[in-house]
Amino acid sequence: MRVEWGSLVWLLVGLLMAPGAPAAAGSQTLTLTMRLAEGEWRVIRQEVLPPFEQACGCRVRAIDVPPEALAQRLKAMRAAGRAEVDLFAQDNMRLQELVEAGLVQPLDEVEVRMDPAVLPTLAAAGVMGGRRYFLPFRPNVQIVYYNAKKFDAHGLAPPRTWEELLRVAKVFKDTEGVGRVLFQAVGGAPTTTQLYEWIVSAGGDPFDFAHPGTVATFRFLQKLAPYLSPDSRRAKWDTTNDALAQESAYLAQNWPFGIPLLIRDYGKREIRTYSGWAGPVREAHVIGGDVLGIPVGAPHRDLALLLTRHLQSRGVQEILASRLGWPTIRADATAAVEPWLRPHVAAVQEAMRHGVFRANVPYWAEYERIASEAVERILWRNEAADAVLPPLAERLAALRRDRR
Amino acid sequence: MRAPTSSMLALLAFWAVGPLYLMLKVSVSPPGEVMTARPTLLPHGLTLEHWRRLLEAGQVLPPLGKSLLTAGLVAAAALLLAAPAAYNLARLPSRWRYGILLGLFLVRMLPEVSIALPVAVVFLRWGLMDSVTGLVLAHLTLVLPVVAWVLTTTFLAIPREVEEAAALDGCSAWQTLWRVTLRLAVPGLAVAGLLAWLFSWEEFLLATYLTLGAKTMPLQVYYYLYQGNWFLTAAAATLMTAPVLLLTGLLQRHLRATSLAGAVR
Amino acid sequence: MRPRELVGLLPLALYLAGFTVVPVASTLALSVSAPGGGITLDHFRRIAGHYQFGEAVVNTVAVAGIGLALELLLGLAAALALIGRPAGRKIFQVLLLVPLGVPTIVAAAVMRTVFGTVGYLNEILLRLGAIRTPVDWVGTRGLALFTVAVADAWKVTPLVMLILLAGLQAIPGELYEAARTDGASRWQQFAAITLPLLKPALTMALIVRGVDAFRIFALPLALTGRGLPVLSTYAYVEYLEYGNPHTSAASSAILLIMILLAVGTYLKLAGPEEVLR
Repeated sequence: MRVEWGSLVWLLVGLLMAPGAPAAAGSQTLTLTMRLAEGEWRVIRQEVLPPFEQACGCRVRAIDVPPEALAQRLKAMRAAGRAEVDLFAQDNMRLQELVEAGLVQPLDEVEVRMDPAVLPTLAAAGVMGGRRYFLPFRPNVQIVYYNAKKFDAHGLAPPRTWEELLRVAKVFKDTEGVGRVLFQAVGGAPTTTQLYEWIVSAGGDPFDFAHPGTVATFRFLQKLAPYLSPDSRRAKWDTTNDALAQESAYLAQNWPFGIPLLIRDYGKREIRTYSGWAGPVREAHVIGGDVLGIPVGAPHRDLALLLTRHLQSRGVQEILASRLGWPTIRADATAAVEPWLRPHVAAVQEAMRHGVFRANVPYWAEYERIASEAVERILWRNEAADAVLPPLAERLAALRRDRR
Repeated sequence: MRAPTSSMLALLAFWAVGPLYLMLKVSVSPPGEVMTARPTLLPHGLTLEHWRRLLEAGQVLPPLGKSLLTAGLVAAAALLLAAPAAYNLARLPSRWRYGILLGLFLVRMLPEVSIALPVAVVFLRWGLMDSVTGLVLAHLTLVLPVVAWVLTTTFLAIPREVEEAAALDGCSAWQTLWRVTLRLAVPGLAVAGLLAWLFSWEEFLLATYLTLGAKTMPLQVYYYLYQGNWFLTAAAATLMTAPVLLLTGLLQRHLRATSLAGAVR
Repeated sequence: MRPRELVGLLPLALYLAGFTVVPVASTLALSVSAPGGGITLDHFRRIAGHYQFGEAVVNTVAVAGIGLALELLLGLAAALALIGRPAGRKIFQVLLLVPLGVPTIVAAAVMRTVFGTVGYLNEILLRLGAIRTPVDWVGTRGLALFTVAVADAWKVTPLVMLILLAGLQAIPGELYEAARTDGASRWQQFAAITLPLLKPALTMALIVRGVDAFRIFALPLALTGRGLPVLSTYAYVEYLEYGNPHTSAASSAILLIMILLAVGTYLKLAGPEEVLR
């Protein structure tokens, strides 16, 4: 047995010496995490970060971390006593968990020195429970994609109201035998995001399932459900693009990141965009996107604050707007957008004009669960809204009471 | 009997290989052939554009290298750690062995979702974020029970008499082990090593916890999948499957059932 | 136990104790610990009251059952065909083994292109004229269970086939010769020799696959979104989506108990001696 033991020891020694420990080279290395598409990373790495690195004499390690993994990784790092992230950009739909778990630092307004050119509504959105935790970076809003060729073939115009939407959905289902209008009904964040703006546009209160506007929204969705594309049940951000590209759906709401993919990469020039439809009361679109935050225990806090100012600067925001078509956080960032992007940027800007911020409630995770259950049962199991909603409304009311 | 057997085998083979053909096909198809309501089954146009984009972006080769290194080390370490244990396990009274094997089996049953965090925290504390070492250690926790089990049945299948005969022929204990027992165990070792390699190669959950910047191959494929780009996903998935096919092909000789016979009888 | 054997076992045992048994135990503890300290069954009560949990339990059992039946059936058919030394046996064996090592994430991506509404299976059926409008393969619960089981069987049937092939090869040929001279039909040979002697191999295949079949995770998520909850995805969504480690641990514990029950029952029926001699 001696040989095995010898090699075993050597193996273990070798393993512990193996390369791969995080590079500690250079005087100061700042770690920044975001979730971006490949083309977006190219712009960030080549045009946005180098000027900052030169100015501060430091290095920025920019890393792709998906929004759903950020909290667990920060938690694991905290539990291990090894904070490595200095600054993150995170989906503004997933901020509550960071604050609740105490993973993000509160920031001092004086220290932050918010530029007056940053739109005040966006600047205000980083405050939770009276304290500032987050800084605006990239606002975002869902737009409607539609397949112009199919609409023309059926003599249809893109719907501007709920009634028109229902009619369009019926026409497609009746003539083709399959529903072609997509609702992101997979559950969780995608579903809650869309549901939220539908409820607001019906004049309802998204957190009150007994509110007449909220009940009306669910009634309408139930009426629409039989004419929806079957892909709706597993539709979220990414699968919505598939459905549009493969023409299993002709009309769908989604974030603008599908534009370069569908139109430039896949060459689907028949896909057009516009801001969307109004509900019975108004047109409303949830403002999403990414905000910046500094984790508790960040090793280079001051540099991270400097980098937030750089990312919010007019120069950087103009690069992002002109190269990627991102909406900007600044009133003064006006840049020439590449020609093919222009109609889509116009759609995004129009949708932003009807933007609403999601209220930050401490029971958001539970809210998502309740909203998903309502959608699943009312749309797909065709249970009566009157039977499903009251007990859920009661649960939501209890959550509101508990947390107060 | 002949004709139905052959046609059934042909159908099964078609089902086994067809989906992978589709993956390869998508990775070299012009978008128009795939992104339509009526996708083509046979390749009409051929383009290397997706592959060029995948490789030129330079984001896929480092994960490929990291995963290859990790899986290789996991396989080697698993064999070195588990073989001595399995050898001794095979020589234990069956009651003991049965209990220990069942115990090994039990620790493999809980979903990784719930054991990933405590495991990851320990390795993070040791400063193993993003390192190959950390991943290897983490993967070993999940691989060892399976490898130990396969190797125990392998050693069990080697009759004691063979070793006793070797000892009678004047071999020392060490020589017996090296020249007789291990030789006979080679097919089982190959199968166990392959299982360990495959497990590490595709492991996803622990890798997400232990990775910040240096992604592994499954994480990179997931990235493309999540972005919703079919062509980059197909190309990256093909790239990830190629080493697997190569390795199973190379070990085909040992996989040829007889080697598992010992484990099964 | 002699000291030498103990020494050989020690490193493995220590490693596993430290990095698997302890986390598993802490997870189990998490499932019964109250946030303020103390022991509680609240987390179990909470998930039991959730409308999808009961479904997740049933789906887990159903997918595992359908999947195992399919895999054993196909694996046995393939193994029996291959052992009969048909023409092109080598090529068939190589081809049939191909999916064995395909990474799960790749399998999930590939199966999405096969079973999508605009998927290749629908395209083939449309061309054959078998259907007129595309089938939604996960549209109803029954169909979804079957689709997920079939997709899972694609990746794992080769392993079952390999195990059964090994079992078949271990059956001495003389037995069949003796049976033939006694005038036994093919079917009689199969029932009297093959099946009983194959039982250990079948048991091994069932257990190796059964444990994984209960933990099926990526495929239901990729093919159905959350339309077909199983216990693993339930635990995953509880933990990562809703940030509740307690209920996640509770559903993991239920899964563990189910696996233990299934394996235990089977071992009781089949007799443990045959499995791990």
